[in-house]
Amino acid sequence: MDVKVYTILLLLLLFFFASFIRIYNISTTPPGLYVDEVSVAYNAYTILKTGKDEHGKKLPFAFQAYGEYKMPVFIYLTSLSMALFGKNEFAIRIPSAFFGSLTVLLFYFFSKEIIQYEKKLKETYQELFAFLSTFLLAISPWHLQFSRAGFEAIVALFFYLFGLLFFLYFYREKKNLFLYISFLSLGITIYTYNAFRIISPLSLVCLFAFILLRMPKQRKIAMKVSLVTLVCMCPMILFSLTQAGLARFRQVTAFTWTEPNGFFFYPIQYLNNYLAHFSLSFLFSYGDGIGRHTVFRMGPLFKWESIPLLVGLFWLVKEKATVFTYVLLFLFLVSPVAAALALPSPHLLRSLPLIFPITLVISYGIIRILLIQNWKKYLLCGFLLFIACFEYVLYSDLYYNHANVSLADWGNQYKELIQKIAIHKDSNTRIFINMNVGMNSEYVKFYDQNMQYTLVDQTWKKPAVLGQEDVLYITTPDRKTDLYLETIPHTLLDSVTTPDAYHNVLYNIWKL
Amino acid sequence: METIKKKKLLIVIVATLVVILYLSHWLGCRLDSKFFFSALDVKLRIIFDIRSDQYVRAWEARMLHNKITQGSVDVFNAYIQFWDVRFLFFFLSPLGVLGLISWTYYAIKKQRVEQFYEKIFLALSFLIPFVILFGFITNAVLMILLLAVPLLVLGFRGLFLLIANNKYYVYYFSLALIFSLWYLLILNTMIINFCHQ
Repeated sequence: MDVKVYTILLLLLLFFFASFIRIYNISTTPPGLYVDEVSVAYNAYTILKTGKDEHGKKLPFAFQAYGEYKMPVFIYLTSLSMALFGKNEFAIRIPSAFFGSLTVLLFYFFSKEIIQYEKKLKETYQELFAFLSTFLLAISPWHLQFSRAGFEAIVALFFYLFGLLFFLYFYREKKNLFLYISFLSLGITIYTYNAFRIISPLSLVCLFAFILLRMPKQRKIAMKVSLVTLVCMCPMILFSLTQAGLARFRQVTAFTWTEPNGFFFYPIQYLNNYLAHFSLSFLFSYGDGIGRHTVFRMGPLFKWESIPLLVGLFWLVKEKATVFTYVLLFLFLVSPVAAALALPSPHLLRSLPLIFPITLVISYGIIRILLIQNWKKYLLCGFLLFIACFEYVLYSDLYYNHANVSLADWGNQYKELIQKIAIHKDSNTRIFINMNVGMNSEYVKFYDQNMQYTLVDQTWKKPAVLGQEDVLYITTPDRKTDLYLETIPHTLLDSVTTPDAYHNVLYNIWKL
Repeated sequence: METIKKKKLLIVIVATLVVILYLSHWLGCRLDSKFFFSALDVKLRIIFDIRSDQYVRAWEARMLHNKITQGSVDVFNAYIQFWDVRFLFFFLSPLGVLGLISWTYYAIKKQRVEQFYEKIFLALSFLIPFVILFGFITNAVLMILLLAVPLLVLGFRGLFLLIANNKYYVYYFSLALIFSLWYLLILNTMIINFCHQ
């Protein structure tokens, strides 16, 4: 067998490995659908069944949810997936896992394409660099975390990488078709995830400027392709300028536009948010503090990666800058641009493209360590390998075996609660859910469309008019409820507990 | 030569003033407890890790949730906070950070640290965070000064190297100066994230 066959086999192996760790136990780990996932799922389901979203709009361009509008690509993809796999967690999460695995595969070609400009590296090391980068992305906690749940950003990231890869092909081959694929692919991302409504247009402007300045013969085709892309992006650009299109930005903006000296403070606040994405504590220790975004008490990067990251940066500074360096610099600079506009900042999901340059520098650092010409390299490599294996085992154990630690950040056992209510209710039952349960109505819509309930607060008392009617009262266990229940006849029908060894009661279902 | 000397002098004066302004905000403030390694925290964390999860086997607990692992992780987490880019911006000012970046850049490009005192201060800047995080120094003023001085020496050296080697240094310096003064506006509110009075 020649080298090419080995390369293909190894690449396929990496792809299957990436797919396996993304799909394994995907329905139950992470534990339950989180609030945005369930909204996407419900809209995807109604689109599949009726061609309308939850608000009755036929094949909408943007999906209204939680006071903002969700981008359409991921929801339509989930509809397709539901048509294939049914109405379940697997169907909701498989598009992310699929595109996440594809991104890993694509990253091989991207790494291979940019490393060839590092002429000082031998071809064998260039190949090794590409495989290493692919492997590191495959096992990256940052990428894995978002690939295993219904996060639309993963799909956007795939198209973003696809667009950049084809731009590099265009740069090398000067084929017009590549530029069309590149720009249109970048265009698709703005229909996929909010942050890319800023990242992608900015990237497109930079790439267009690059062609104008550095590729004079391609200026004409660049104009043409840009125009076509602009036309394709027009609906979203116009939508983004409307009140509805700006709704999400208004929800998360870091700038309260009412502040009197705002314009004086905002640039510095933006810079501070931007720099936060390069904070070592954010990258290696704590992440962004959102339970859904990292494994409990772990950062988005492995700690051992800090050493090759420093080595890689050292060599990038030391060596003369090449296309490789410029691509990395471009990705480093562009990735946090959108995330810095919003709060909380830093934010792992909104700055997701940052994962590419970081992985590439880590991989480059490892290659540089391997190129050390004395015994020290074996010592360093051995040390790194030991720490890397240990950390991966620790991470996998925490992720796959002890995911319930972050239960509250995911489904919080709402599915189990709704299923248990369904067992105890009949057509005459009135259901009252206390606000302290914290369950969003989307969960009820998705898991039991026919369930009618009333949301009540802590001061709720059973109305006298209900008399002898069956009343189910769902609440978290707390003293205030207990005191009230002591005053009226009640029966504990069922409880929902945490799915760990302690079975702590989360919710009680009372019959009043 | 004379002009460069004058410019250097001017830069030293301006940079020193800015740095004094920044440090005056920090003096009297203790670094927050998250900068410190605590054996008690580690113990509590291990207990939580073992108890909060289901079916943690004995070998798993010994291998993954032990004091060596958790202690190393804690020291790592505490140590890298001293190199957090935002902390350095607030601690040394953007001007100081520009100097540090320049120093690092030229040290890497030339592949050597030229002066002996640079080596000493480089070693100190790496070591002093350890001294602080293990609680060997308790005096707040001393802590802040010990942390700042080595970094500032390297920073000033970096500014000199920038003047000597880069013809656009005036632009870089001016930009960093503007941001340094601008940053002062939010310094008091942001400093709270890193220290308590």
